[in-house]
Amino acid sequence: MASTSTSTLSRKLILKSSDGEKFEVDENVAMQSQTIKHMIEDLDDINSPIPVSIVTGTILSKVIEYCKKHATEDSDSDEQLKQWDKEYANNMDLNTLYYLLLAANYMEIKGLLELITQCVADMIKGKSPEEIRAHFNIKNDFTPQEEANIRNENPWAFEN
Amino acid sequence: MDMKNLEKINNLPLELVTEILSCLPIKPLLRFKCVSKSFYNVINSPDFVKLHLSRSLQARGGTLIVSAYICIHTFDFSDSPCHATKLYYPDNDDQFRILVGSCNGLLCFSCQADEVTLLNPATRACKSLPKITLTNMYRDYRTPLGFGYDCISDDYKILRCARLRVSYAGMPEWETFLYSYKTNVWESIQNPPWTWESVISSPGIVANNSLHWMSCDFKEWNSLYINFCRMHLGLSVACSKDGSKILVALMGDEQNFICCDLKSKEATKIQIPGLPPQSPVILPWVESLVPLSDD
Repeated sequence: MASTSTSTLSRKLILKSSDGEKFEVDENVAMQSQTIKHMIEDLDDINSPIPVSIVTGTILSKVIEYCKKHATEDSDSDEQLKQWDKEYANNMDLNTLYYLLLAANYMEIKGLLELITQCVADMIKGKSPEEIRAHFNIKNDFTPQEEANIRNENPWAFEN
Repeated sequence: MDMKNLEKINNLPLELVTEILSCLPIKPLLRFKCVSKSFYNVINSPDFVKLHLSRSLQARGGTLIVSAYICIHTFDFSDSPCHATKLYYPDNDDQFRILVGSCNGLLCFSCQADEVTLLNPATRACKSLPKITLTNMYRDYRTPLGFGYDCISDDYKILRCARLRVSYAGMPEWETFLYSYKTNVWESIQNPPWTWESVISSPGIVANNSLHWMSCDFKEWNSLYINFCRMHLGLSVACSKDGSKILVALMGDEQNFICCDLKSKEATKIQIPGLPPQSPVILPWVESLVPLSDD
């Protein structure tokens, strides 16, 4: 049942990952996700686990870690929160970041999505087109002549 | 934490790749155009240019552009320490250009021969605008000019005036022109209800989809302004992202920047290494992909 009560802090929700792992979280933590927020509104029984169908337990625990940090309105200043975000993202490899990106996108957590996209952008900004193809597993569908023409549009962009 | 149970991801949806690309600076974006056809199409699409611009505007701290006639520099005054970086500037001619406007990454220059050019220093694209054909025009590049983005018609526009040569002594006559980037034509429009004479020839500022100029029409204001000029021309040029600091540039023989902290109410003189000694025009700027086609 949808709740309009303001005393939501104590309510607990259970999130269930795609591989069946269950996480008990405070409602205000889970509500950082717009997707879950909408799911709760349609839910009759708040005690039944909420399926987060495309996110594995490993990734969901990371998502929850982020949501917990951003749900608590404690004395952390903006600066401290930024520093925490930075360390949180820096501790992950590229593959984990991609899974987090998919999760943040699916769960509609704007802050996490922005954090991870910026982090990936910072990681790839110095790379060559060849390295980008390898990173994103992209096939070069240009003919050599077409590619040369595009390179010639802005040759300086390929210099250091 | 054990991440080994995660399979290597093969493909990110294009939607998410687009999100990542929208956070990149211009140089890698131009390089990544040759990754694949889908990358090329994404980066060239008008929607992406707008998405990227809105990201850049959102993330911008106090990025400024400084023009010193034959070169342009940029710096972000919210960086500490802050350092100016030289930007691309076309050197195919030795025209003496004055920076008269900055909007969405595009710069508008006016030069002595009464020509107006647009430049996107980030993409190095340049466009010379058609000349205003007016036989009896008084050639004066210091006439007011306003450059901005019109969000209603989704177009870049320039408003400028030309002072006409009059054979008799009397009030100078003006003609007002409006340029549209979409049509690439200067159109003669009705003069404003005030005289161009009264407008200080500083860049017009766009707010609420209208251009604004400072006027020196009032006597008191006039004397105040002249007194102020005599000492130094002070210009508040940027505000930090959180609104706690503003940068004031004092024009003079040497660069003179004062950073005002609005919380502590302290003003400190700051040095910005890398800038040329004389930097007469300072405007806000943001790196963008906004295209300029020279046709």
